[in-house]
Amino acid sequence: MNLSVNWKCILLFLIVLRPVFSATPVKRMDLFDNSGNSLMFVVFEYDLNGNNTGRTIYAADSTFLRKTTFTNSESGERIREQSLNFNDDTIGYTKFTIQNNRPAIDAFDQFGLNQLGTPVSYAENGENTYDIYQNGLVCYKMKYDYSTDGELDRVDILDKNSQMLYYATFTSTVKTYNHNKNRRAESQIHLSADWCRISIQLKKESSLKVCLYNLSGQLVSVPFSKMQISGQQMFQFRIGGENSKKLARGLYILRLFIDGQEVGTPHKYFAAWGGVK
Amino acid sequence: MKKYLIVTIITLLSFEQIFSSDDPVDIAPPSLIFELLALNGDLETMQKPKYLSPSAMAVSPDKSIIYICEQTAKQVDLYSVSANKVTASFKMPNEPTGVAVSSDGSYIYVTCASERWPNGMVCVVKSSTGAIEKRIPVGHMARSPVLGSDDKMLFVCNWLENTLSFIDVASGIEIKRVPAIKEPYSTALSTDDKFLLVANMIPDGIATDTTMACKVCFVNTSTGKIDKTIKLPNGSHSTMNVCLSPDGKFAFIPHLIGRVNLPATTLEQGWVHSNNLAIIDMENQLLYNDIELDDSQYGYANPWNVACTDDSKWLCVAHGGYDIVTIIDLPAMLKKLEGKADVSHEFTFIKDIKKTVTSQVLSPRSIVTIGSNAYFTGYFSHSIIVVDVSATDLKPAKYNLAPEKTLTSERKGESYFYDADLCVGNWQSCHSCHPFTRPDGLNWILSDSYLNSPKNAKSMLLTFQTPPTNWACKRDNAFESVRSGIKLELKIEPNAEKSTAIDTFLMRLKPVPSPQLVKGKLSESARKGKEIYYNKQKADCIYCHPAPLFTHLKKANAGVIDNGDPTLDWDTPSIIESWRTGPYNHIGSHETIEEVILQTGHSNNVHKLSKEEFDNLVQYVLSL
Repeated sequence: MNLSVNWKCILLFLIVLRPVFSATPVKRMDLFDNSGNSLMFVVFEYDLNGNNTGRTIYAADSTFLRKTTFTNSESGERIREQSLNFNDDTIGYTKFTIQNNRPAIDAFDQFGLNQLGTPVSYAENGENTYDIYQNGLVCYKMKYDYSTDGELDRVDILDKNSQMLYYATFTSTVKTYNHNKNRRAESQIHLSADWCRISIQLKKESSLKVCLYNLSGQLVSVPFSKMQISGQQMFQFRIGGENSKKLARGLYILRLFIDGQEVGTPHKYFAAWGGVK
Repeated sequence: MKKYLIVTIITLLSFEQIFSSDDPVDIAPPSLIFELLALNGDLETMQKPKYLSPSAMAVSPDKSIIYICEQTAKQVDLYSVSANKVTASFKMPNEPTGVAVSSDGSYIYVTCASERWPNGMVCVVKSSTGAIEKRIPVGHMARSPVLGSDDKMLFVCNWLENTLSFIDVASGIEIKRVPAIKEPYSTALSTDDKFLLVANMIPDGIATDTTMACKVCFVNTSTGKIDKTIKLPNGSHSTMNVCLSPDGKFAFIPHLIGRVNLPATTLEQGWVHSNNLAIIDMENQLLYNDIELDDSQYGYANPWNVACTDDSKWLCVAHGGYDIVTIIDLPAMLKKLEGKADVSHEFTFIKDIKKTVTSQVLSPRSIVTIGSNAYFTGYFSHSIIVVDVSATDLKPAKYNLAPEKTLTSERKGESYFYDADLCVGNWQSCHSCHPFTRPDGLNWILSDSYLNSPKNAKSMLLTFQTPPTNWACKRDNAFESVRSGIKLELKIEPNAEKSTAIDTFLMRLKPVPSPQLVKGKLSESARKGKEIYYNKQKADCIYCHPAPLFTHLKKANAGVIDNGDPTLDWDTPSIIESWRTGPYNHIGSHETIEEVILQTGHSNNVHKLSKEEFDNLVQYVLSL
């Protein structure tokens, strides 16, 4: 038996299994009060390597509130987050510190005025449960719930007597909103083998384009580019394009554009191993 | 070799797995969730405890429940009239600003909006469960919902958008959005449902017009058009409420009258501000008269909310700036007014037909009546006061809505800002000239510059961050201005604790997102305008109004001619929130931002812009 072939098989097996056993990156978090009223949602952004690079915060009706960018230390530790308004002007920042051996944050407005009063820290207290501290006292608790396949499902925000006040839900599928004046697009992208299926709600007739990029950010192919009428649309296409062109093995990024504008952060990663037809 | 390569790849993949930032707790750690909810006013912090801020009330048709909008707590409390306690709280997705109750009591309609998220909505709430069955999007800073008598139509003031929303209740759809005048803050519906009487809080027009005053308007509910406009007495502003008499014949509108033509050298006898009540004849659609709520020696600052007992015997006025409620014998007042000319400056007119009761709450802003009882709440207190207004000896009873919370310095500063206790004779509060910390639109002759021409009131937003202060840049910073304002305009020696608290409150003010934004972002036109704004070849805005404060913190000559003052250089204001701060410039002689930009001497380049470019530039400025 050729040993290198065996290793290849194992490697293929690992790569195939990886998406199954690794939690999918959280794309969106929705926050609700305990009556189920939607308060706001957060869309997380990732770079080509899957690192979380920022987030955008929207009110429940999709009104943009602010976006946040990160500054990490050389060792990759988060040291500061900066929030920007609609005009890209800084409206606040968050510092990351340690308080009594607990990770802590302190939030400020653009003029350096403290927004929380004192730093807020947290510590794990039981399985997937955290105590939130301010001024040395536990003020809230948070409980993280995971689904059986390891996906983060929900976080309950409790008062110090464990009464539920708010909760957060999480989505890992691509679900983005485009807040262009004339259009709101909600999309879901499903990948299977060499096919891709996209369902999308369009408010007006729009040009849709799906592009494939390699990890260097170079455009590899445009497997789909068509005008689509308004309303709920679903279409599928071969990832290799209509000519079923072979893709070189590797990891690719799929991006969706509507009228030339990327729809939020719908990056979808997929691996092509030994070529895709 | 190949084998080693593959092993290396597998090792790397394993490391990637371990160190990958995919861990959801890394992406959404407890600190992030806390911060999001805290900055949204949901979770309380040391800086922002969760105060209730009761601000509007409505009574159920069977008079058993009072619905209390608790603004900063984002909830509506159900106060049981028989038990004198809160029996339930309904959570709202944003700050509740007003509430209306369906005629069968099965639904309440709650307007919600906040300075963080000003896009208004009406929450249709089942009163038995608190479930929000619909969220109806309406306009910017929606408030003051009013239901038609058949419950088919709902009307809402979009306060900072200067519009009104007409909503079809059955479908839950806004069917019409119509213009009001300027800052429509409150409304009432005529008994035949034909007209909405709308109180516009701020005067429109230019401040060099010495007859400037805010207006109330009759909006036809069929056409959505303003059929009649009534100007209140000269200098009127801050119309905070509209209340109809039970028979629908009269409407009562509390407001202030600024004596803008007099130098503010004294406060006595309403020399600067008097606190009044306009009476509108609903049938003939005219100003029936306007009464002075003050005594000759003492002011009753900031009349805020009015309610009439069902038997039409008593008219109750809550004074947000004086922690007092005035109770007027309504039939006696109407009798006295018969055939009477203007009494808007007659201090004795209601003296013998009124009684007052100390509110026992800070800044009473909401009042309702059930039978002969008046119920009122204070914005800075967690209690409700009940008093039988028909009694000769008024004995208010106080019931808690929730335990009181210690006021932070910021919150204290906010309460002092609205408190006429800081003023000699309780004639006015800071809020009187700077309603909600923004300008009242009027020109004033301040006491330390009474030889100069009047100057336009300024916004307090960013005042600490944009020194020097006042139009002449006379003071180095807002710290000085707060103290000189208390000393010179409120005529008392500034108290260190109170002044510092006001400093804290003011320096923490945040701009309200503009109604010109589209879903919180610049419109297409504003985006184009932004490019022009920052293009020195096209426009020269950024020389004097550079981001992020949009002022260069210096004096400049904007080309404004003031016949009463030859000085050319004046403070360059920040243009953040310029969408709401008109009229513009130091004498308020420009009504629109277009006029300011095109003023000769203001800009050298903008005259060369095409119309489209100019419109885009204006759109950008109004989006800030």
